[in-house]
Amino acid sequence: MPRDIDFGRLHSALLDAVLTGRDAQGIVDSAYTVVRLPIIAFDVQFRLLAYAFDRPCYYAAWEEIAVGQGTAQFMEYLPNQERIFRHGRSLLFDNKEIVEVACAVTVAGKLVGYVGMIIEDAGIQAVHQANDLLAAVLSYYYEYSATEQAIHAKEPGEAELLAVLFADVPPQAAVAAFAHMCEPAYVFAVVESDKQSIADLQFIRSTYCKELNQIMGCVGDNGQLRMLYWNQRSEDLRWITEALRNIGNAMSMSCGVSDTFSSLTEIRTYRTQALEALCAGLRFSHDQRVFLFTECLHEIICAAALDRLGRSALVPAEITALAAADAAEHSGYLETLAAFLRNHGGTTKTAKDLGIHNNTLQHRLRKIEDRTGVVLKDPRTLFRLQVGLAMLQLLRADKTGR
Amino acid sequence: MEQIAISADLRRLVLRMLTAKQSVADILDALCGAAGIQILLLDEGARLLAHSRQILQGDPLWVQILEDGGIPYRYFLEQPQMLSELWRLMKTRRPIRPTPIPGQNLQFIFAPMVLADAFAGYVFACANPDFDAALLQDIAVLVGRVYLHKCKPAERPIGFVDDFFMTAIAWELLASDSASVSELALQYHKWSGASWDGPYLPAPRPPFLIAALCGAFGSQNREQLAKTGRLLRDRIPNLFFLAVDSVLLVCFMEVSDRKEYKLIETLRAFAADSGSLCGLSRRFDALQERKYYKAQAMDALQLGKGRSSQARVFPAQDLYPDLLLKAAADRLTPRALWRTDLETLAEHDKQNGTAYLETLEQYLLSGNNHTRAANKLFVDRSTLNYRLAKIKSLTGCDLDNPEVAHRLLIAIRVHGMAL
Repeated sequence: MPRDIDFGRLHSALLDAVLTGRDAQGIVDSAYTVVRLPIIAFDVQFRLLAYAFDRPCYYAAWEEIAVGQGTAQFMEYLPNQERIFRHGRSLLFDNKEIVEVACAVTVAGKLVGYVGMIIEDAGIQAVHQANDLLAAVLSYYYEYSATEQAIHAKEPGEAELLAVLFADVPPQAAVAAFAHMCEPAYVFAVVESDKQSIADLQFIRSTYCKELNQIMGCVGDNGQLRMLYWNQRSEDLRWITEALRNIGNAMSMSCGVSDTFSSLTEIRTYRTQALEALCAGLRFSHDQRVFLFTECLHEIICAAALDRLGRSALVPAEITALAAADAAEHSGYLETLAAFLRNHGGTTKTAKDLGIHNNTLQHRLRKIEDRTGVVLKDPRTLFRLQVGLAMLQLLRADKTGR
Repeated sequence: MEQIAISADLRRLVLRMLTAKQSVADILDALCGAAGIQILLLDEGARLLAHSRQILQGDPLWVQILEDGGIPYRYFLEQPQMLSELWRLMKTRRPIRPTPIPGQNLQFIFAPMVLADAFAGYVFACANPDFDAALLQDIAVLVGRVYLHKCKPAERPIGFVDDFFMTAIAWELLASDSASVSELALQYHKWSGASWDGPYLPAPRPPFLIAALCGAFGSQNREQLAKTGRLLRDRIPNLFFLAVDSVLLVCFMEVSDRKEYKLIETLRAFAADSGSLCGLSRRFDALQERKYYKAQAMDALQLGKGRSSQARVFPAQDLYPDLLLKAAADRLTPRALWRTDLETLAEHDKQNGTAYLETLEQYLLSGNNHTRAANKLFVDRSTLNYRLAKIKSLTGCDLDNPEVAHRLLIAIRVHGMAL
């Protein structure tokens, strides 16, 4: 016969804890006096918030959290944490070692942490109910308590940051406050999770968005993590993309990164850059995860033109004709043209690149001119063909196309 | 103008409201409320101009018309006798006799609105079956006159093509993006064959080509655009046209490969004669994709207009790749497409009177050819080399990397377009 929990006593113990102004640890302690089960509460980064069990804990994962060394080894739990968050109430986990229930702690809908109990000898339903109750009380505590301990759940200026990163027109006052706080140049980045996992995004946010790293970030209701880097130089873009690429590969996330900029009042423009780079990059790229605006110009142009002007406008008639000829006769015109353009019209290098004789190249170039009626010496034509080739390549990779 | 035999009370009401400077909508409401009828004012393409707010018996057709902003062409397809009545109305310009609405306990009439001897639209009035038919007619005619009297010249419906059918098809084709036109095409065929006493109805037949026209000097109002459209149809018969905003949209039909060249020639002559500019889309077959080709024509016109060239006709393909760049600039704003390193360069130019941005553009355009770029800029090669070194240090870009060079050139071109 499983042990029952006295909910009358649990309610009054938790109420007392809240009313006497006790902190998270105090609340967990007072819950423990009634339920007599191991309890743990930790934040989105798996840092301990409060616990009630004998150390060392017989459940290894909890002991690791209690010891508090590093957070990277917990990343494998993130899919479970996401399930907990989505579930909204306590969720049962039956792994080989123990049976536990876990519930998300949220502040105004934002995920800030988790609370769990090991079931041991108590009734499953009762523990679910008790854990729900504890999660609700902790959520209340983090939302309304102004004590120092609550602060890492409710970071200062978060509402302003949300407004700056997400609002259509960021409020002047908030922008000015941030401009005062952090130096230019800035970089805007947006991160999306393939699995749309809020737990993953919150984990990234609380791990990377620190003053030390000169990054601020917020997860919005739309399931995007948006970040503002400050005090960057244009050379730093390389490091930013490198770091994001590692995160993206490790956690199946995609990122868009803006150009550097120096005035926060223009943040909207650069947000557009990051969002469009991400959107266009995902549309045309199969293997990349990080899309830097300055390197995605082709993709962005192609996406915008496709949506407004349709496929027929994207490739000039010359390129279409050459592609058709290539498909019919394996003539290699497009390849030749691409190499020719890549080498700024230098025939010797082009011939070497293609591994053909200079005369063969000359012959082919003449054929290209004959077929399309263009003059390959005219710089404007070359620009036109160069864009055309790039667009043709992207069109072939377009995932939304027919 | 013939006297309208309407009850004295209603006439006094209208006059009082007119002199009190009430709006057409208020007059309509007062009139319809007093008489217990409902009225729609439609232009010749059956688009809604104004309506009374009262709805009799929750009339579902009425509610639908208000939602759609007019009577879509398909309603007429389902109601051939209504269509015949309308055709008669246009020919005679006299109100038709009240007719019961099938399936509903209501009667309706059409009354024409005539402006400067052209058919400008009509009044569609509904009332209960016991309502006096002659009075309904009188009210409808009166409302039409009040409307034409009250509306500003710019908002006046105009005798567009003097033809309801052409306008209605043109509207479906050019103003709406719904895919219903191809199914309409089948219906036209049926009519133009069988016992139809209306005009020959041309079915939209591929390949199509869409053009956007506007005045070369200043903007034109709808009436001027309509006139241009009629003149154009005299030269090239197989087309539909419609004025949308300040642009005349034209859809040419059956433009084969061979005909396209001739069409462009004709358009060039026409544009020169009529003082207009013209953007052209590419040719296409699938009508459901016509919104893309409309955009091509309109964007080509807009881009071409900004160029100080002698040309008057701008085919979309000649504007490649600028058309694509424009689409991106329109979506992101040109500011967002501008790069920070180039901004640094432009800023340096502005403060020190240098010409680095232009130098960079010419150098990249020349295919990184020093001699050609120097010739183009009228400077010595050593000057060019010095400038390029400065540019490299200011932007930190490796100009000899073809990828980088190409992206830079695109950014410069987008920026140049925005100016």
